[in-house]
Amino acid sequence: MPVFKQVSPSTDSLPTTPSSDASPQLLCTCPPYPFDEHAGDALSTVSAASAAGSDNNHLASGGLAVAAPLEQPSQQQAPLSLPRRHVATCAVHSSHAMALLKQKAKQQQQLQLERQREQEERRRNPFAPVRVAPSRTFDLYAGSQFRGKQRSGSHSYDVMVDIKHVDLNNSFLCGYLHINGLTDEYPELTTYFEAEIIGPKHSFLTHKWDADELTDEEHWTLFEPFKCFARSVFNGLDGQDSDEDMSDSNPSLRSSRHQYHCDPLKYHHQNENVVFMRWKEHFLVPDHRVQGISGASFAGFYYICYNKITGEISGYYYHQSSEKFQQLLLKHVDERSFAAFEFR
Amino acid sequence: MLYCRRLQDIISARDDKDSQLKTQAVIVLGSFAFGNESNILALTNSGVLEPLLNCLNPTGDPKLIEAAARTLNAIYASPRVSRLELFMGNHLNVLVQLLDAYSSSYRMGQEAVLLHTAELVASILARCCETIDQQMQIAGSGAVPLLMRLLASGACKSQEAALGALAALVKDNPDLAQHIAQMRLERGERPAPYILRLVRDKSPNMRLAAATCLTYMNRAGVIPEHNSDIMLTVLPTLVKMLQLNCSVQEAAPKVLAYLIWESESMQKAVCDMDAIPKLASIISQVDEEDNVYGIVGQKDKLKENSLLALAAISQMKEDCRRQVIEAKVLPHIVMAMSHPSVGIRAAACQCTRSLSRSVKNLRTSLVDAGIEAPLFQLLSDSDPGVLSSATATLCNIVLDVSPMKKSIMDRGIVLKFVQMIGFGDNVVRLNAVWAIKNLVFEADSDVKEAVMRQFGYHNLAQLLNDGELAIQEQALNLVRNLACKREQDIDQVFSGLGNGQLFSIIEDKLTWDDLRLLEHALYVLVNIATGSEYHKQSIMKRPGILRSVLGLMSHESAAIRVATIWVIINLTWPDDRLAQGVHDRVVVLRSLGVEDRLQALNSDHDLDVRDRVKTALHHFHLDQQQYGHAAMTAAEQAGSAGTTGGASRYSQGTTTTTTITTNRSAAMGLGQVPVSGATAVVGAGGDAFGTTAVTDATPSGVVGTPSHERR
Repeated sequence: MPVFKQVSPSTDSLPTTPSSDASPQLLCTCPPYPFDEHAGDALSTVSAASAAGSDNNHLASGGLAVAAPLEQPSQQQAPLSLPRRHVATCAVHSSHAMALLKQKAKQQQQLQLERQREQEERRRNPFAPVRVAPSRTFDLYAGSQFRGKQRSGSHSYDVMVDIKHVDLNNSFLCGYLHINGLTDEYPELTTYFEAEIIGPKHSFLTHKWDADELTDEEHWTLFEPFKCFARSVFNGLDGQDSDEDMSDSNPSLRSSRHQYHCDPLKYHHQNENVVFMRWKEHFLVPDHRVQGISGASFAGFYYICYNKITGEISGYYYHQSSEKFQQLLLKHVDERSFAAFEFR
Repeated sequence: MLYCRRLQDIISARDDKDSQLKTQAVIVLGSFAFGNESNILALTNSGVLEPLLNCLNPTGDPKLIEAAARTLNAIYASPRVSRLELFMGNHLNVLVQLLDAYSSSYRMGQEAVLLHTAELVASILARCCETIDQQMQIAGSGAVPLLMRLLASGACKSQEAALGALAALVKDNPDLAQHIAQMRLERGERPAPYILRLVRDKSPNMRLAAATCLTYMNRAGVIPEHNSDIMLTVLPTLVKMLQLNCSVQEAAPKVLAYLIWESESMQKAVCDMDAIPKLASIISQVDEEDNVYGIVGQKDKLKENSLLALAAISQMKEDCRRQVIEAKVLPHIVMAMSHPSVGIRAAACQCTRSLSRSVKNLRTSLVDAGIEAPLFQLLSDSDPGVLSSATATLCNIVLDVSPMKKSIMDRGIVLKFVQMIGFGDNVVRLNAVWAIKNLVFEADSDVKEAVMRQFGYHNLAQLLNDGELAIQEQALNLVRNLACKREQDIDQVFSGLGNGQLFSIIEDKLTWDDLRLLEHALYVLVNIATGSEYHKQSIMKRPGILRSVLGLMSHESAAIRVATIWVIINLTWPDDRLAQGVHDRVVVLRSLGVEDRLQALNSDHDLDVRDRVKTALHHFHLDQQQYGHAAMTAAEQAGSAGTTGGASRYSQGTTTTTTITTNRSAAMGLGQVPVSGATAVVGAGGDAFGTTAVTDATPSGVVGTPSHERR
């Protein structure tokens, strides 16, 4: 639902055009500093850093931060509640507050102009593309990679996964799965897969792809973190039993675990350390038109468990006529720089 | 047109004696206006509007007024007729008075004429609401309460006309929409629930008019309490209209598109009502009729609107996109991209844009359907609407997951984009920067270099300070993508923009109150901080930037907090070769209060933030293990008297002397710090001299001396 600026509801007077009042309100975001004694070192370092950077013209001309700490701020002048370290690093309380306020006011004016322009643009073209912000959680983001192995019987194959797009809002992500040495014809095989992220949109119960509840149970329960859901997912909501089970435990713990236990419907990966998914491969990359490959098949799907903290993915492949419990073990490839794209 | 002059003379005559003749003349003029648009323009060019508006004088003959209103209504059907005259002089006020069909000037036996006049006036007003100013002027002349009365009149035609005018008034005007939504009808009811009942009327025209009015109110966001009514009543009504073979079928898809455009849940709801196969069959049916009968153009509007509805439904949900593909309508969409009608071409492009928001479609169906060639063709289209939706689609086509990326680059797409950035309108410029940004996402160094050779860093620098914030944002995202992954890529950006300019821009962006600008600016820093020692030092030399990063560590958005922590993580990344550089940065960051801030974030409610904080604090900890930490050691020595649990590592009551001694001895004892300028660093950064002496001493110690990495 689009949200617009609310004007005061009035039934007898016409709305006035939005006021151009852009009085800025800076909020101080500094955490409280209980100790004044060390204010000095913050100040000195700021000035040190700025002095060191004085070969740069921009800085030498007196950027916002530079001048203030060079003055000897006396303890008396600073308000008691505002230690000097705080002053040195906080936009609200620095001695340049006025300049900053002016700058902010100017920016807010421009932001307001921008909003008006947006409204006009919207009027000119009500069918302008609606933005869909790319989403990420931990190592699940577009551009992320995982490396590891798939084990099938005594064989083991190198696997790499490229995450291409993540849409947590729709419990969706997709990417490429590269597997090496599976067949002679395709020493490197790449497929496109889509993930159903278990949560408000997708249940633990698969109900498709030839998987019945038994299949679901024998696969999901292979994941340690799933154990606490197991009974409620596969035996229905056995509230009484779980009450009995936990009657001796501490009541606050019980209530939280109770909910946890009995309502997989309320399960959301946001609140958990692990993300459960189903990965289904759809076609080959780069040529999606290639149909069968001898010696390999991607007709089945993976049960997946991603651990946010360790960055590891484990999974089990399931297909009616394939070897059971082929295991996928992947680790996130550490990456410290992040590009970003956005669909238009 | 000679007759026209004569007719005009007749109606301009001052005497009111022969109103019958005047009426006849007005009716004849009206019959011209019911012809095509060129007739209407010929009429207005000869100056017919003013005399017609003068005929509306409420004291005059009601029959004449009615005829004049009808003729004016026919003339204003053309959007090319100037609305200026209507808003000049007293015309608008006179017109609005005529809405009052039940006024004191009520004359026996003339109810029907008066009511009909009011309907015509409502329709005229509906056609004169093109700008906010016009909407406000009409509302300001007191039209709204009269329209409300007309709405509640119970007379079918009057209600439809009132709905039309109200819809035009609230369209894309949130302020006025809010005002109207809060008004009350005669019985004290608000208009929305009343109009909702009309959505269930037996007349299709009434249903459409009511649905349209609620659609505009809904998108203006002024009737949130009726969200479920919109879902349960308006949406199905509009979807059912797709199959009515009457006049409403043409407009319904566009209203539908308008209603659901920004709402994912409505898109899903419409999808679940099987609207996609219905729209697909309309489109293929129109194509078939065009082929068989050769009467091209009759159903153009229907086709355009249906394409737009498909674009709306498939805009946000992959499931809906899948349904569009499965409906086998894509070949028709691709064909429509080369249709002679401008509207159809633009709408078809909107469809491909929606469908191309999917990695799967980019890899499969869009390639199979061959959208690349017709899409590229549209870049030479003269219509701005077509051009903007074509460039928007291209933003997705140039992504690395798209097999069409390479071939469309071979066609010289980058140069096209560069030209558009120079000469296009703002929407096209935005799309072009957006596309280039997407194109260099995860690209190799040589692709980035080739693109920037054509684009030019001076152009990028300009865009980073463009008058449009949206363009600034895309340009900043482009910098983020360019300076990513490899040191040589960062070098390119440094030499392209000049690092003084680059960091001044970043410093400025970090002070903005705009989430997207902030995030991209921070990730530019994150990426640069993965580079060489020189790259990292360049950041450290900007106290303004460091201070902003520190401030943003407590930003309300978790995504921003995560980004700031990544800056810290990368700046303090343990590196065997240049351990001294890392240590210097740790010292500066610590003294700025970064470590304390990180400690505070240890209890952040966001799991991702907490996880990153762990890594960052680990770096500070590593540093401390290696070099010791003055204040910490001092605290231990002083027996941490008075320190309260974990809030800070700094102690409250240590004396300066102990601090220095401890620190020195710790450092020397470890034997890892060479006795040089670096010792001073440890002393100055970590302790609590807190006096002038330090202020003087530090500049050379902290950042100035270790210049071995400078180039």
